[in-house]
Amino acid sequence: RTQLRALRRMVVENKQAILSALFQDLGKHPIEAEVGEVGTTLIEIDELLSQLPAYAKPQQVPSPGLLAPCFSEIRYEPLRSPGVFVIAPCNYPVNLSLVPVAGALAAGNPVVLKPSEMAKNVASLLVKLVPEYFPSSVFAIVEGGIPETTKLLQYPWGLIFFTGSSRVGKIVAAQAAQTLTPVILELGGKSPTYIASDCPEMRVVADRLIWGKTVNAGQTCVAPDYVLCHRDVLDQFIEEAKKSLVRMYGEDAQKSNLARIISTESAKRIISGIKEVELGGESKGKIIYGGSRLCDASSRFVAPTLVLEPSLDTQLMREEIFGPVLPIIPVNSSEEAIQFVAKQQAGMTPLALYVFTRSSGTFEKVAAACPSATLVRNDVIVQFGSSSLPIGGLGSSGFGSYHGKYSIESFSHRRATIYKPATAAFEFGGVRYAPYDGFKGECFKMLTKIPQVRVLHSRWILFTLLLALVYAVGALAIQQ
Amino acid sequence: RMIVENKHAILSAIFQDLGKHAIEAEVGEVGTTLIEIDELLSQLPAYAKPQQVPSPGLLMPAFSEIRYEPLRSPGCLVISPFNYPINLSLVPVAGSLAAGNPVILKPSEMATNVATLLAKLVPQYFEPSVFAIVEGGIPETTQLLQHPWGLVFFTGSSRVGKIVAAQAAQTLTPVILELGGKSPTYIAKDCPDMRVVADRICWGKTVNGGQTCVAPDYVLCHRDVLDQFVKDAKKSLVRMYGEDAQKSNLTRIINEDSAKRIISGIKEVELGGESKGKMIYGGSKLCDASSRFVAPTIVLGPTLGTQLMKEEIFGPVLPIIPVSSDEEAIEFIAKQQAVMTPLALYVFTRSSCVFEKIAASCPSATLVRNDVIVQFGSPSLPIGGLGTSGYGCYHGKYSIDSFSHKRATIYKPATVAFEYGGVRYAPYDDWGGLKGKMFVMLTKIPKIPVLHSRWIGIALLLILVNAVASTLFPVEMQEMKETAFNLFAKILS
Repeated sequence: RTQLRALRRMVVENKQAILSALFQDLGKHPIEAEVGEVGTTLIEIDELLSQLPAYAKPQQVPSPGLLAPCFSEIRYEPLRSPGVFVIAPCNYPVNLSLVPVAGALAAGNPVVLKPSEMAKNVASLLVKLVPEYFPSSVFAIVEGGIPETTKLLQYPWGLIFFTGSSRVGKIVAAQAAQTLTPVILELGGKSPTYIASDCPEMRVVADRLIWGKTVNAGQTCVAPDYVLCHRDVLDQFIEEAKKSLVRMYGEDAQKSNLARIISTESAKRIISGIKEVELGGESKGKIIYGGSRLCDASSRFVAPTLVLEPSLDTQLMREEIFGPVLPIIPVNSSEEAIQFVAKQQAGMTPLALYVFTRSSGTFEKVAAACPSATLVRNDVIVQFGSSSLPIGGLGSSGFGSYHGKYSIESFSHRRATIYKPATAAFEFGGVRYAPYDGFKGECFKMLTKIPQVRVLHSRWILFTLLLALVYAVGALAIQQ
Repeated sequence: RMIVENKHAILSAIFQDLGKHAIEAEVGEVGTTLIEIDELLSQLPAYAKPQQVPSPGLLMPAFSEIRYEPLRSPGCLVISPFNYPINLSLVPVAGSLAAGNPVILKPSEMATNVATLLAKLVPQYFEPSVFAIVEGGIPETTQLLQHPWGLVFFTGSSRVGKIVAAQAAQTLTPVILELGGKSPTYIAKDCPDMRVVADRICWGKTVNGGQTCVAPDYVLCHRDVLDQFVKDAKKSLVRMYGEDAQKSNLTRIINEDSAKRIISGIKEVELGGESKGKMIYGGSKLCDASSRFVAPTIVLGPTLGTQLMKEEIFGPVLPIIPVSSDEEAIEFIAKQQAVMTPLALYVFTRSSCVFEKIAASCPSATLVRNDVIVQFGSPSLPIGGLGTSGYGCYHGKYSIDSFSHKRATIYKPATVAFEYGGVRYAPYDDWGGLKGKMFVMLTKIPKIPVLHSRWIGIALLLILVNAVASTLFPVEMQEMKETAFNLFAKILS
């Protein structure tokens, strides 16, 4: 609890420096950062503080009748020494570093954080701040890139918590296997979005979708990657989407609050994805808003761009976009949307699936047919702000989960504990021991038929039950 | 049904593979498996419906829930070991099926009769698209591991566990590893009734011929009770297995190679004079590798450099190490474990202080006071490893948890009213900075708890309305309440 409070203080007392570092690394507006990074991190820390009392005491559980009398409990203990190793990514460098760190600390583990070297200012700031609030034996930072991470991965840890790409995730998991270290991988993918013909108010749909696509300049692992739009509402959606973009970022987005891409290489990558469509005539798709001419790789600026019907073989449809570019694919029905998603995913499983519809029938149909790690109806990205939901991947988008009590569970070892009295009376004549033959064996077999012994949550309940039993027996006896 | 209807064939196959007495198998393998299946059946209703959870105030109005769904296609791969070939195959399979996953089982090729029996029975009860068996050894397992699975569930040695985890990493497949290690046991000087202590430890060491991943591997015994323990242990062994254990109910070792391995561990002590330890019961002369028989053996004070103290014994050989204090026991365990973490720690003591002291100083995946092995029989405890003994857990609801994907789900209405003027959208500096301030304020709203019933919601709303109205219009509200009450009384009478 002390560590969590120190973490909270570190964030609150240095808020301006944190917002400033985020602006330098990502061009992120302080309001967006204060809510989306700092605010969500504090919500998590507060949730952990409120959940902790439930885990500080052992959890009593029923015992098998076979073992009566017996008390069973689960103790939440830290993982193996030396603790937890957290590798954080560049896109939400504060939240995706400090929320896993908070989980590790909440469960009682020392933790080493390797922040992303691509978010340089945030990394430098954390390197300066962490030693002011924590002894290095509790929470330490290691700066560096691939060589440093590779070296750290060779140690046996209690757990390695990795957020990043699938490519690197495989390397991390393979290294961890050598030391029998468990891993949580929070990876990515292309999160599909479907707008049904009975979608809610289109202005709200468009606003939310555009927000999800452009917040943090699209560099969100659960950003709505591409949109499948029912033809009946296609024109309406495109019109509203353009209006949303103008409302949010103006005619000249470079002067707006739009965040910047983390690096020029990443900006170039996204811009080349747009150019591929522009140069392909209309066979590869059509740019209907924005475009590469409005972009500027040297200032890491990618203009919000709408692409109508890019083909599946384009870069935009093959790789996770991670930028403010929105492909829109018209479909005639929810079945066609489901088929498209299956074809595009090709064995992968996205981190999120978003469905905009008024009917739960449509929602359930799409949700059942398209596997995804998380699921939202009529909004995007918001699941990551929840401290009550288990946030994690499925299939190619990763495994393991965290947030709130799921952090405590993931970063703890649940030590199964049994207490048994050891007096001859409770040996039941030693039916469990050899030699087994005859009546003794039959008695032993009978033991497995005894139902579970429930947990009596209070010795007063037990006492009362005992009194009630004594009373009942006594009353009967007196009656006789 | 597959188990119950074929119980005798199962007990017979286990006897052929391990020489395990039918009663020991009926309780320890069949019985515990049925207890697990019944627990899963009783837990399932709780997981069939989505679990509602609170929503962040920031997102209001929102409804959040967790749906328990199967893992990624094509399902789970269960690789099971030879020592409890029924339980350690079918309990993970049951967990997988309970969570809705198709499952493939690769039973241990070393328990040949059980593997063959399962290969015959499973297709009679299940479509191969639901539950299929693949027989084979290393080549078949390697090939299976190259596919992406929803989960690979492996029970076996750490050496192979690393290989399985490394392969699974290539396809981003999550793994549960149930491995092993040397589980230490400590008998404190205030231990309970020594006969019971000795009976339980000897049982734990000899049940299934000692081939249990959570068998008490070695015993640290306080010198004050050492002689008593040694005496009672010998008596226990004679009571359970007689003077000639080869004629008793003692289970055999799975194969000749393993038997030879254990016997050579005993011989190393015998040939070392007393520098490596002292044989005080049993011994290699009573063993017979060709019939896979290892006699229950007690070794006093084997040194840390011997095979018996370096490797997991997995046989009915019990090292006893005398110690002078709890602290010495703790030091010994730390030295023996080095960087490993055992699957279990057993402490025999009457005082919870001693128990807690040892438990806190010696990490272990599971913990038992005054008994051994029994934690594996529980369908309510999460059974799994820590550190070198593995990761992930199962049994009962932990099986459902481990074999499911917890799909975080949020429903939000999408009407303009709930956009709050669009405070989350850029530009952020609108309204003279007020918009930004309002957006930040949203994060201060507390969580919305789950209202388990819309009636509770309605009731709370009525109470709220009543409170507000009574404050604003006390006289009118009073009159209204009196009229309503009179009407109600009239109707009643």
